[in-house]
Amino acid sequence: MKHRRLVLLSVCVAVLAVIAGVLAASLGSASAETAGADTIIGRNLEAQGIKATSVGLQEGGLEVTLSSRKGGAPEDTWARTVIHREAAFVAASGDPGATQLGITILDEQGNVIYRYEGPIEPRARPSAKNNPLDGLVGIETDLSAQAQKLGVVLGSLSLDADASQGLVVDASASVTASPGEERDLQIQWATVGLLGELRDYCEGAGRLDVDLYRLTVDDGNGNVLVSYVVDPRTRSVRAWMASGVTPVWSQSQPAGLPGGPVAAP
Amino acid sequence: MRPRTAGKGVLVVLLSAFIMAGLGGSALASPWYAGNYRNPGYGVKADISTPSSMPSVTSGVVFNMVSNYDSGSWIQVGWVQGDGAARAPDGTYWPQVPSSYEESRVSGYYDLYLYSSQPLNYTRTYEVVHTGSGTWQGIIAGTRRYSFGPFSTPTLVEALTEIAGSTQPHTRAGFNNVQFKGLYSYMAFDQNNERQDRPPYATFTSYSRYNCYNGM
Repeated sequence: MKHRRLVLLSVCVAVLAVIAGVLAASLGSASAETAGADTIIGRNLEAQGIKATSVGLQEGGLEVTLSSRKGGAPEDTWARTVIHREAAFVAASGDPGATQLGITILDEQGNVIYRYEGPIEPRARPSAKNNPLDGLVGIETDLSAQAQKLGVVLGSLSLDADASQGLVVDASASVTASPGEERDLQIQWATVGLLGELRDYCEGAGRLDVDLYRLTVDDGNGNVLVSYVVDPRTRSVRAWMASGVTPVWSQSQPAGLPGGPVAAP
Repeated sequence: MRPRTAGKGVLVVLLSAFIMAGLGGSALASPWYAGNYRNPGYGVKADISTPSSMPSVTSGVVFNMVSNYDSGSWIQVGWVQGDGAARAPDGTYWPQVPSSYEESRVSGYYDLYLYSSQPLNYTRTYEVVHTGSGTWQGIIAGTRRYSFGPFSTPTLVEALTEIAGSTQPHTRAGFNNVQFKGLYSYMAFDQNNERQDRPPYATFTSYSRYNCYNGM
């Protein structure tokens, strides 16, 4: 009788252990699924050289924090773009992650200098592409000539078949004028003007299936004035500009009150 | 040497302006505005309509929008129409039919999103509103779009027509139910900060209801 009870007790303990194991495994797996999106995105960002201070899930939203410096930094533009795209790619892959994305950029003192919030719109990662041999050769000479007429020096112009982001056109230019209207005209050409020429060339005859255009404008002394990234499929533009530079690539310039703000009644 | 350098500079500016015109980029002349402002506000919204016939924009760009304004930083939503020659920041041309957009500049950071066209004789409600911690959200026809910040809130808010690149663009936009948000709720614009740079022109029925137009 005693022996029977012991056997029964052992069986019960074994059954309970199995149930506990199954429960633990199931809970663990749920937790892994919940953490999936941020983990994957964090890993993807790191693999692409983007060092996020933190990547996490908060109330159904994916939160990414970047550390920068006062006034921001040129590389923030590329980082912001890649974060948006990775969130969309992971969402499209069926990962039960977030539906909202938040990006916070902090300066050295921990002050928020940029905050973005918005829905994640799932989209498939671009398929792997080869770097076309003739690439941008056909337009480089013409662009250099145009740049020269404006006092702009066209630096590098390249096409990169990036394994993660697809085909990326990367261009850099240096402006030579001092701050003022002439430099603004040069920056305008080196951003939206140059971009327009590149897009006409690449997309006009379906020559190249470009996924991103990335432009950098400096002052000729290595100081970056503008970093500029365009995602042609989403018709979105992200840019960073140094202090003293205004977004001259956009005609839209909201205005303060003529004569300054008025006091509230 | 000095006059020679100055002459060279003038030549480059002239040449730049010529090439920019050839590229369809506008010269960097200041834009012109019509509409009304409210200071301060935690949000601004307006029903902004398109005209019943297609505006003729043969030179330059027109924006009809609501916006906040914080020392050169802003978030705005509205409809835009270009001449088919001026480049939009994404390197394509500004749409030749009225189309919705959202644009933001926060200190050194800039963002632009271009959306669908807005039919003729059609009204969409455009809104930018503070959602907390200095972050403001753009809302178009009830659809929550993107949020940007931080802004020193509350800010100056505005509902304006802007023409840029040329005084030519024809436009007509009705601004109805123009409202600012106080701490908790929306109220009709209540300040006389009316502006018309002639062009564009404006006829005001009240501080919160007006038509902005040029050439039509």
